[in-house]
Amino acid sequence: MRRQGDALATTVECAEAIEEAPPPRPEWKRVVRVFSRRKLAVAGLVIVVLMVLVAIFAPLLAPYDPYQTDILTKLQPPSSEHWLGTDSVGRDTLSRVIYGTRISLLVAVCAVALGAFIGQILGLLAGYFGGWVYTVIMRLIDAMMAIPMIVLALVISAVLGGGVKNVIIALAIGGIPGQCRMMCAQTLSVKQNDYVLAGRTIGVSNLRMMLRHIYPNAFAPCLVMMTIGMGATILAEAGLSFLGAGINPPTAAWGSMIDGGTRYLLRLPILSIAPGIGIMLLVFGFNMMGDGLRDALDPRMRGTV
Amino acid sequence: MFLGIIVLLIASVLVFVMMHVLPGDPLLLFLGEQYLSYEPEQLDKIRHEMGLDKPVILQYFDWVGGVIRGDLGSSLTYQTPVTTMIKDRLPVTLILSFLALLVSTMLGPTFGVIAAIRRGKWQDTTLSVLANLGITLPVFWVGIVLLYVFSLKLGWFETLFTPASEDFGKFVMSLIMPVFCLSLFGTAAQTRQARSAMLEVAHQDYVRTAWSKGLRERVVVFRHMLKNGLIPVVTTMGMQVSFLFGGAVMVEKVFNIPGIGRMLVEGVNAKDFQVVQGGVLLMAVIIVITNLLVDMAYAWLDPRIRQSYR
Amino acid sequence: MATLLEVKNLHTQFKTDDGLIKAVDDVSLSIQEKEIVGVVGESGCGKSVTQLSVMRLIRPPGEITSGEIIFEGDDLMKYEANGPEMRSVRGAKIAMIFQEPMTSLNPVLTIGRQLTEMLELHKGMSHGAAKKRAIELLDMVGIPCADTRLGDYPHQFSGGMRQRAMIAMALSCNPRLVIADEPTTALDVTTQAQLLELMKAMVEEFKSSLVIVTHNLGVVARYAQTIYIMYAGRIVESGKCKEIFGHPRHPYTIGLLRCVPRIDEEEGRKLEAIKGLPPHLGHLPGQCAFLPRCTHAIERCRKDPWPELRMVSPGHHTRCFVNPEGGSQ
Repeated sequence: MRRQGDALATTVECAEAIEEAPPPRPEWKRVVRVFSRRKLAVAGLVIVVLMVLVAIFAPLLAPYDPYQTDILTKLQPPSSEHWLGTDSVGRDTLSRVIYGTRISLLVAVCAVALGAFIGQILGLLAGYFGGWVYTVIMRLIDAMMAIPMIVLALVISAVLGGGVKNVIIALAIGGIPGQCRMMCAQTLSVKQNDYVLAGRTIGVSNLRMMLRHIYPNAFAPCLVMMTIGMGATILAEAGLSFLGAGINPPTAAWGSMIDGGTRYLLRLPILSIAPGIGIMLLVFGFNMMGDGLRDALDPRMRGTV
Repeated sequence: MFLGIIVLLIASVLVFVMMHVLPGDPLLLFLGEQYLSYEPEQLDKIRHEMGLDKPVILQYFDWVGGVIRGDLGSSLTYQTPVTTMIKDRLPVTLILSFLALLVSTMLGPTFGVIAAIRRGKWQDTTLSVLANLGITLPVFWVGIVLLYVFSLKLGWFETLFTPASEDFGKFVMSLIMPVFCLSLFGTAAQTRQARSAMLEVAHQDYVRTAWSKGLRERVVVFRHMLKNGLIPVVTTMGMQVSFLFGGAVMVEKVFNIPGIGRMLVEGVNAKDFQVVQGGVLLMAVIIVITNLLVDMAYAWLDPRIRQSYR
Repeated sequence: MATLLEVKNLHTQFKTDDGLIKAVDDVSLSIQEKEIVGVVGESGCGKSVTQLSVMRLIRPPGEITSGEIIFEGDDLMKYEANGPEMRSVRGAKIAMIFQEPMTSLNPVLTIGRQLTEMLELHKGMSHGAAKKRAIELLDMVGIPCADTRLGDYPHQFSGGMRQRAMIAMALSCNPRLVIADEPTTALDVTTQAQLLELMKAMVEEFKSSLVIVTHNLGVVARYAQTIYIMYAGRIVESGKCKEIFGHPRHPYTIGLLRCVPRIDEEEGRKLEAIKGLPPHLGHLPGQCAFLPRCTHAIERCRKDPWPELRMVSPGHHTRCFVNPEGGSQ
């Protein structure tokens, strides 16, 4: 806000400038435009939206109740009544696959959101305050990262017992280190900007500085990480359920369905294969969205598709 | 290095705390069915002998003390020292992981570089599609599909795992599918990463300078771009190992391989806390060492970092 | 003196998310042997892209859509951008010095390597001979302890020294033409002066021609014999140095000259900036692009499309309807 000829802007003018000008955010209109140019990214978005719709309207779409057993029709191959056949206690595979979207999406969204929430707060604090806060938080994160995510989630999930809630907690904890590190790095970088320094000189409170000035600018790469993290979380949840430490039958979760199908692999491979396809689709959708988002938010986008 | 030890200490605390927060009485496992036949005082006596009635903090220090001496305690399920179990099972997991790492480190960046320098052409499209697919595949699911197709249907491979001591030839054969499975994600992820790193480098000013000197494409790519582009690839090596261990856990279950992953899963399910602590600590140690090696490699690659070590 | 490089009606475009950008719009230049030419303009006027086009270093999404680039009688446009002919020209016959010495030098290769690779490639020297010559070159550009410096990396040099190394690189194969793209913009004033003197001395020694691309009129005033002034992708005025400075004909040139503080002017004269900002190259109007900022505009400027380059005196061309010195053109 320098006016030509005015060698010094007064402190008051600075303060007004900071208060009235919102911190620069990525121009969302441009982001949307660049995003929509990448076909893969849009395809990913479409897939995700479709899956969400399937999850929401599962009761309408599924031909049978996913919990309803019928020993007489167990282990049926795909037929006109049961498009994907039935499982070992006679439940319709197609319905279970459809209902599986609910679990996968629910767990993924909650786990990523929770992990991001905690991770970002920690990262913001570590980056902003530096010093011993940074050291303590970062060492903790390093320790967490020294343990493979699956193993960490496995142990936590087993300790707490299985079930949706505990799986969410376990996976959220697994996701904290990544978000924390990213937010910390971004905070450190944003902190260098002049408007942060200017704010300090006029006495903007720490809390306000972090929330209003630093966070919105640091957020973008974390958002990309969250989107790609959705894919990783879905895979992790499936893995946990497969190992028996996650969400078990009778709940219709893709991972445990795959595990359950291994015993009948030769006879009825569709039991294990079908849920896997569901996982792949959903993860693919989120990954492509994440890629597109990353390119769209990159300020150095070179104008190529 | 000092940092690494601190990290390990914290990790050990974490895992110890986790295991000792669990509900349920470890003695139940230890004694099995006979648990019910014991009087409470007898149970207390056994607890005291095993040191389970001490405050958690003391138990932790006992354990750490043991670790330094090389004693990781005993498995409640198997009644054998954890160190023995590890000695038996670690080699397989290491071989499996090492081979998978080798494959993914050699193929991944190679594919990525090819895709980058032939950007937009068929090589790029094919490789990118395959790579994008590769990161969506659940490791265990691929294993199951492979088992179905190649073992059950085609009969090329056995479903049972053969240890090296029995028959080396069969051992090698039985490793092929698991290694393939395990390396899939890593290869795909590294392809994507190498590709994006190389594309990034391609836009740098110094690459433009290289072109302006009239150098051939091969020279520009290999002498000017490669070293710079591979630096991020090296940095993620530590994470690669982390993912590999995670994948090994699943692959070992699918293919019935008696490795550390299996040991860990069984231990967790049986709440055999000594085993779990020992296993997790082991993994953490390996990962920390890998990260250290990565830091050294990074310094060698980037002369700017080398400076700060002088 | 013979014409070394003749650029005729060059058009270079970029396809971006924001539309089609005409970075170089009908540009024609002529560079004689042993001449020093200045290309002047604000950021984004297309001066750098013109030079990159000459070297055929434009990559997608950019493209040279038409024009001729005649170097030593040969049209470079008829060769493949990365073919053996162009590669034998780049570095060996036409060399470029870039603006940012830190980012323009490869951080993981030694300075020596970046020098010797050119000598080995274009001069066919052996590694040992190339090293010797490299030391000589570094010496020539004023880098002390050249033999030990050969094994150093770019980050171990200061900004001025890096640029000297770049100059050495550019001249290493005795090119006929050296293009210096804002070579001193990133450096402090004292270093600027030293390096410009160095470049002048070097091209005289090697009997090459030099193109200096800059936004700094002071630089061209001192060194260039011919000057081209660019605006919004086009040449708006060109001529001999003395002519341009003595009798500027385009309002933009006049504006530029007024911006420069002079030691011999009256006290109290205000520095006049050219009001407004340069136009967006993707949204150029049909008429003169300088119109919104011009203080000499007449009715015709608003109605007619942008004028062609016309000669106003021998060797002096301008792209304007108005004669600021009075009378028409």
